[in-house]
Amino acid sequence: MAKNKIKVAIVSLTSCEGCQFAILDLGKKFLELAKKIKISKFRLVEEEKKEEYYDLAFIEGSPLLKKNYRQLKDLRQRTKFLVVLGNCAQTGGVYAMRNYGHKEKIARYVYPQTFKLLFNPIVEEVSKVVNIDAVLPGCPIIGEEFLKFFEYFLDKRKFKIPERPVCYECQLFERVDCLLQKGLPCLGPVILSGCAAVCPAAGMPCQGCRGWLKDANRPNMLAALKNKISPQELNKILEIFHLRNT
Amino acid sequence: MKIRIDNLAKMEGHASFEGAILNENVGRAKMITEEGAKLIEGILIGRPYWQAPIITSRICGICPIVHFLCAIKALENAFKVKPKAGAIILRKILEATQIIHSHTLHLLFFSLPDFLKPADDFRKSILELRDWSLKTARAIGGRVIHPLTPEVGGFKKWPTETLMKMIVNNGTDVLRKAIKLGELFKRLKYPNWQRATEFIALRQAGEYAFYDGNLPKDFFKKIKEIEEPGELVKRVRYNKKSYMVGAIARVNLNWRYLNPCAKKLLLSFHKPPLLNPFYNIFCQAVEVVHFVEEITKLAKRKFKPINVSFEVKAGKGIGLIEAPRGTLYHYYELSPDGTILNCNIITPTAQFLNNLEDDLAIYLPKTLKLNSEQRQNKIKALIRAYDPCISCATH
Repeated sequence: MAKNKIKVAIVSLTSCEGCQFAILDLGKKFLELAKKIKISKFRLVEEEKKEEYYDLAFIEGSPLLKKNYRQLKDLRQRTKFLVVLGNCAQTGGVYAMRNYGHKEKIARYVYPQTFKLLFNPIVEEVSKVVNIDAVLPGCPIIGEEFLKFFEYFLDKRKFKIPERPVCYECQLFERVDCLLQKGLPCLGPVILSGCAAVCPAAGMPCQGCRGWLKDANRPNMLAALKNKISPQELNKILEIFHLRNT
Repeated sequence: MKIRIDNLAKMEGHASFEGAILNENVGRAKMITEEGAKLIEGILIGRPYWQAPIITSRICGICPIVHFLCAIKALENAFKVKPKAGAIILRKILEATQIIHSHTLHLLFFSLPDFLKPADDFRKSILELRDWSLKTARAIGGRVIHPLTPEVGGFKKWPTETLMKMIVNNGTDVLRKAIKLGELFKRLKYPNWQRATEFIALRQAGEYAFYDGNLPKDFFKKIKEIEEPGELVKRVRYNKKSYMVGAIARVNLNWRYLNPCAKKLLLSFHKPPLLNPFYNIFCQAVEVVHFVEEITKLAKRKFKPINVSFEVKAGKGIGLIEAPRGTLYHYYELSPDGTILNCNIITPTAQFLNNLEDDLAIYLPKTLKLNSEQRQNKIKALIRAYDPCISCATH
């Protein structure tokens, strides 16, 4: 019996396209995956074809243009399964920092003459605009996690990221001195892992790009951090990946 | 005759092309960017200085390393910090890996399909070369997309001697692959035409400048960032004219300082100046060879993992660096406690979009005799030859 390859679309709204490049950086492994599926839409690496219906679609980036909203809603209608790819689509990403400030002032700083003509929305999560079926978090996503997702999807199993903090993987993969114990503002204990604690391993405190760990004791963590840094400094960290007040 | 190409593919970022052929000699061309307003410079105001590299690397997924390093250079300039030799060597290697991995992606996935379909084993060889550059970038930077280890004064974490030895050991094999890549790109059938323009890149006596270097005297007085209604890119003009940056500009200006294999490859093709915009593609292939040689040279040097301590204070700083697509500029003004008061970022694509349109306007009439599909393919090939990064342009 001929096995029908699933039709896959990879679409980006406004983004740095880093999550797509993370997929391409898989190199040979990506090409091997590509043989098992039918990539019907992936503007970054092939010419646009006629729109069709997809079994699986990935959406990267934030809706920052009216066109982005149309693209997002259109994609939702054309796909059975929609996966959010990366922090921008999941939380609004770095663009959402304008939500914490005065967005007109921010726009005026960059475009002093033409800011009034800009479409400058409050940056929204993709999940606030359309229903989504799964999330691959991170800034950028983890390439190996993308492959793992496919392994499950092609086997018709639900892929679930284990609910473990970054600290778990920090200890598992690296024998590093804990940055938190060194007095650095690392969010590790309350952030979802799956990233092999790549940032703390490199000496960079975790800033939470993979999102809050479910059922984590956030108030305790934030209180503990306020002993080391001021509330304003803590807020500035929580704003980077749109964790503050979310 | 009007031409419109929507949703240009095989290019970083979203854009469409709109043009017209008015007669045998005159055309009109416009690149219409289709990214939303990211407002990164506005978002940085009021944030702590150390967030600049982290946030600006998110401007672009194909050149995050260069934004990260440029921000750090600008901050070190503001704080008057001089990092030690070891940090410079590592950053240069990191910057070189950025150029290699960006160029190889563009060459293999974006531009080459405009000319031919590569054999499987060729593609495999280039991916292996690219993999080496990614592994090296990871070993030094902690992560490729949105690096982690460089910081003001040095590095948060230094690579081990074993890792550095591994980079050197793989050098010969990788160089062979890079030269093979260059030889293929030498033989491509590039459309035969040219247009003279101003080429701008960093220059440094005795060096193929990429991490450090100088722009022409009074460059910042002579450029203007132009805001147009409905346009998110603040395009740059130099002396009111368009100009070119990137591989072809660097090769034209600094080719004498290319490493030996790269120079040999270049001169076996065409002695500079290269005025055919399509040759930007070949110049990228030359640079891949050059930077493989450069990394091998740099990785052999002995250095001590020393960070320079510094005082956070008020100041103004500029960072200049050659990104894969051309000269990148970051500027920060800091308050006494290190908060960003003002900033400005000028990206390569914002600098060369006008030049691309000027090229397209002259090139379009040459496609009059082609059918619609052939004409569109030629237009796309020229746009891709520039390797535009629309995300950088619209930051």
